[in-house]
Amino acid sequence: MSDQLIPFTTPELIFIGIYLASLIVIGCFGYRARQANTLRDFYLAGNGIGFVVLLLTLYSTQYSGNTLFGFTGMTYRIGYAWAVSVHFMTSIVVFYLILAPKLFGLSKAHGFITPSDFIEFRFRSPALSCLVTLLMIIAIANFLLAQLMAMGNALEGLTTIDPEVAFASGVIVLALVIVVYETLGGFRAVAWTDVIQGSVLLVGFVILLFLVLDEFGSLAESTRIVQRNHPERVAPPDWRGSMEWASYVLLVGIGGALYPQSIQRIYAAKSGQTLRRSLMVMAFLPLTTALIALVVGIIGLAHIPDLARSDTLLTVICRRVQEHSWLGRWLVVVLFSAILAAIMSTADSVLLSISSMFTKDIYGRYINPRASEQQLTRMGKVCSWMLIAVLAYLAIRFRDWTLIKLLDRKFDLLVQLGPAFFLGLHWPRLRATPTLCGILAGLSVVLGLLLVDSFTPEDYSKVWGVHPGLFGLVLNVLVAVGGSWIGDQRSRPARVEERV
Amino acid sequence: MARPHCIRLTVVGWFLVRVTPSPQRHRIRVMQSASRICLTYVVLFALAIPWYWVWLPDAIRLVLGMPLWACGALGGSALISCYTAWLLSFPWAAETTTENTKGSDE
Repeated sequence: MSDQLIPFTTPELIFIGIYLASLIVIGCFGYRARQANTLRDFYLAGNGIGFVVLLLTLYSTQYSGNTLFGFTGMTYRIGYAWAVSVHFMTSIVVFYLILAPKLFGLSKAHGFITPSDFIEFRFRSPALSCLVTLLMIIAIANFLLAQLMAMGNALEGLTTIDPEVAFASGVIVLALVIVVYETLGGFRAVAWTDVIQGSVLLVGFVILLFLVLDEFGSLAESTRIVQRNHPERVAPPDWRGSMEWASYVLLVGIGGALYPQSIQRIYAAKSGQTLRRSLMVMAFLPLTTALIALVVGIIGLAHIPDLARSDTLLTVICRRVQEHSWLGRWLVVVLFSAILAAIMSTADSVLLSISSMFTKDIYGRYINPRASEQQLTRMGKVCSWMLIAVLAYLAIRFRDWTLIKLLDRKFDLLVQLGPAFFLGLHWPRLRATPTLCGILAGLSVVLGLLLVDSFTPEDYSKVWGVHPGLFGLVLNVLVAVGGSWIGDQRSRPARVEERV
Repeated sequence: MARPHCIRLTVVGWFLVRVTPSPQRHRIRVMQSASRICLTYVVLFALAIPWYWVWLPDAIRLVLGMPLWACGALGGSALISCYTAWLLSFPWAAETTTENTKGSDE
């Protein structure tokens, strides 16, 4: 069974071309709508964005190409146990509840632009701010690289030309589209294109569900087939599996809430009410998005057994639909646009976030502190172009790079920032030095376990079903809280309570 | 035996809230509501994570096209979504502050 789509015809490629061109047109509108040549206007759309734009930009940023390809593939591999994806996507919104109310108020009162602005304001520690910035950049730069590779993979099977050329063309063309509209309109363009991309993604998920049910029959029938052929994939998880569920809920919940691009969306909300309403709707979206991916995975497992690469399940399903009818072909074109939307909307948000952190927290703070707002904004645009060029080169040059798998532990890294943000917001006695030491201690545990995992035959990617990031987080919290408490007992410093 | 103990704790808690000065009283109330919310989430996630289904009969009986345990887990997740949305329906303290600041700016 082929895991490649039937190459698109010229009218279908023109449809995709029009979709991509519309993103650049929106970038032009974003450029015309700018109010000032300042960092706040470029990176947070000035006075902020309203309910619909905020909701769809949060949605399309949170659900990447991984939701479509990775979640369906994972369900194919482990069955109903991947229902945990619905839980962990919901838990991100739960952790926003701890973060967003205070952080939103502070960001409006003090004009934060990057996540490190809060750290600098709260702890007044350049070392801690620098570490937080670097950790966030490292964690999400790899994420951006993965999105660029996904762009290449998505376009690879669509044309009849040489696969390597198609992969490289896909990476270069889509990366160019992103960087052009982002340079033109900054956050405004990214958020507005996210409205289109989020809508296409929602429509794509609904189309996917109907296509699959129409092609293969009901979910009950598929579950019965899976129950017969792979009973273990329908059984409830054992104690280790349950530990893994709890671990996922905590790891993705904390890490997902600390995505720098998500924190910047909290800053960018027009009002608290706008942010609250957007999060209210976001709380229910996993029940549509991740649940549909689960259903598709189960149906695929029942009707398309023996796939060599489970992540190609969606492509195989699309191919089956394409082969049947003219309508099926066009529905796959729309679904393919949704896949592109999912990948590009995540990539553009990550790119803008890295650019803002480099420009404001590193260049503006340490390299050229006297730079004006205009110079910094220009630097941010140059940074975006340089970053995308380097990452596009890496994506093309190392398209089969297995290290990517080792590096793709962004949540294990991001959760180490949990104490700095969550405790920093709510516990006035938390001090800078113990927090810094806690992050370093947590990181050493994570990196130690990952190194052991990569150099030994035993599986240490999870210990007793728990991710390395959570072991690191426990040590991190102990060091941060213990150190702050001891320091507090010794010197009784002036409280920073008023500041928070 | 547990009931009088509970009543005593509630009375002590009520007394503490009444006798403490206003800002501290506010903080106690905030902490009480925060711990109540945390506890509710712990209970909801404990229900939503299907650790207990291995001991229950009919765990793999099909309901709505999926095994009962998966249905239960997804139902738990839906409850978490509803509770989160309900909590988000209350205005945040920062909202009133921002609105007031806006008002004074205008």
